[in-house]
Amino acid sequence: MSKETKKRWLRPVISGLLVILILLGLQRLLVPKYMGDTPIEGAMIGEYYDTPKLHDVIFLGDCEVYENISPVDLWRDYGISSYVRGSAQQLTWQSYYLLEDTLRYETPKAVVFNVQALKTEETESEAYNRMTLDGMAWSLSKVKAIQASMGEDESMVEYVFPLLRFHSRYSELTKEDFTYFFHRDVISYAGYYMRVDVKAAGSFPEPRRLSSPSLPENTMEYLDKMRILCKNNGVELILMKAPSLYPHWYEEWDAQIEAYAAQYGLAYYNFLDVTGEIGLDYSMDTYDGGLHLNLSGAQKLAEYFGDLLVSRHHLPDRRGEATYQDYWKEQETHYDEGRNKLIEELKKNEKE
Amino acid sequence: MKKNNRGLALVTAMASMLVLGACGASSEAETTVASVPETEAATVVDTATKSGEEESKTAVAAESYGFTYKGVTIHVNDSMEGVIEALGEPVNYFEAASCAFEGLDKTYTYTSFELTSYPQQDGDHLADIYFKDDTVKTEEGISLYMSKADMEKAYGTDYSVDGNSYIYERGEGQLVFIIEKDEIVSIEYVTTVKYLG
Repeated sequence: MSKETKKRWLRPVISGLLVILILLGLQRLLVPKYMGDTPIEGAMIGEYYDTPKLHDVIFLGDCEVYENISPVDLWRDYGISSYVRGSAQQLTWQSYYLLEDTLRYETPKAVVFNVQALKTEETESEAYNRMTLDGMAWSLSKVKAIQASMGEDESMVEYVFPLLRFHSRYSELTKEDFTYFFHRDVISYAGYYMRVDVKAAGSFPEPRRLSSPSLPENTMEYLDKMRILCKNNGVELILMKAPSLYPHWYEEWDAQIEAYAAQYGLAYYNFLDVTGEIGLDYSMDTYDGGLHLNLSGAQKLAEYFGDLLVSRHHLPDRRGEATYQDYWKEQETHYDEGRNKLIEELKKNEKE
Repeated sequence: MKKNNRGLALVTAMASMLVLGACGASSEAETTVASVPETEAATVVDTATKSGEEESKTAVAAESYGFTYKGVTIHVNDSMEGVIEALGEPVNYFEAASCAFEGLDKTYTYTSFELTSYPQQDGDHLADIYFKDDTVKTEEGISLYMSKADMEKAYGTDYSVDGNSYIYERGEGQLVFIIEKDEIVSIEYVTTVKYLG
């Protein structure tokens, strides 16, 4: 090939690569970072991929999971190695595909699914979809999760090329978009979202009449798919209802889950029924009036739930096993630093 | 133009079209998903009005079912600010943070009914009206504990059924009756505008 021919081919190739690089750079700059002042919960799903896959328990669900379950406390109290794959308003089909996704990396002994999301039969918001789906690593599971979740105004191409969705953010760029261009901070503690502030529970609107006593068929179908997927992989599926006081968890729904669990021999723990035994005090163990627990509440729940996981589900105590020890030592340090920082901030705010 | 320059121009043009084309496709006022959740553009910006006063409703708002209380008529999708101004302060107000965004679940409780709102870029709008007792009635005269026949007499039989719910559609709102043992046990006006629930 002559020099001239080479040149003729090289230029457009280099130019094309340059354009692609610029577009990728723009995309990186314009996509939400979920850091700093933006809702940081959007960063949680992605954090899982950077952790060693050494988990005996995986928790799935919405904020009732990632704001109430503290894996570091489960480790400290019982040596249980767990991770919360929770995300904001995580819908049941998203939990299913996140389970599929998780099984690509590891096979835990148990999966705990929080049943609150079963009441939601359709996608309500692109914002929440993005907070769950954008963080997922690309795989067939992610593609299917997007297909199952997309609302009318969403399209697959915008998930594949987020620049097409977020191009208009150029006028709203903040300091965070530049600070977190190359890296992200780790904001969760093995998937747990920590809060140390206190806002006592007050009164709630009276629950409204249900038009149908049954949970939606489509969400129950995905629960069933989760059950079968767990069974096929030798994973025990455990159902839980977090002790969140609002939105209301109806007796009719509870009875349906109890019946489902009994039919398939699954354990179902409704922690709303045992708040006294757990020792929860909603005047001090919640940061938002009873919707979610703060750290003090999450520690009490970890102590109670951890005991169940060990005594009834025979989860191993990994303390003393070198590979686990190293991983959790790092998590504990991160957790302690995070807690201390939050307490300092709280004290500072109280003074002001 | 040389051939290779043409190639470069083509690639650049395609990339520009890709980005700019997308810009053009969604030129409406946009917010980012990361900041305020994007919802469909508010179709109705109505202000609650006293009966007899000159109304400033859009056509869509006028079509949806109205609820009149002490001379004030409100519709789902009305501006919440206007609704509160017209009805007065509620007996109780409850605001719950949803999973990640704060202040999205707001409930305003009046003696005999309850209102909830949804956020739009121009402020909160009325999401639903829920009857708490039988001292209030719909504009067509239906209150709690009346019969299915009463409902059908007032609204006809052009409803859809979902479980125990009988749903009448009008404009961007629904009027939903729940009937148990031939008795209306729940009456609710609901928006059909999609929003962050």
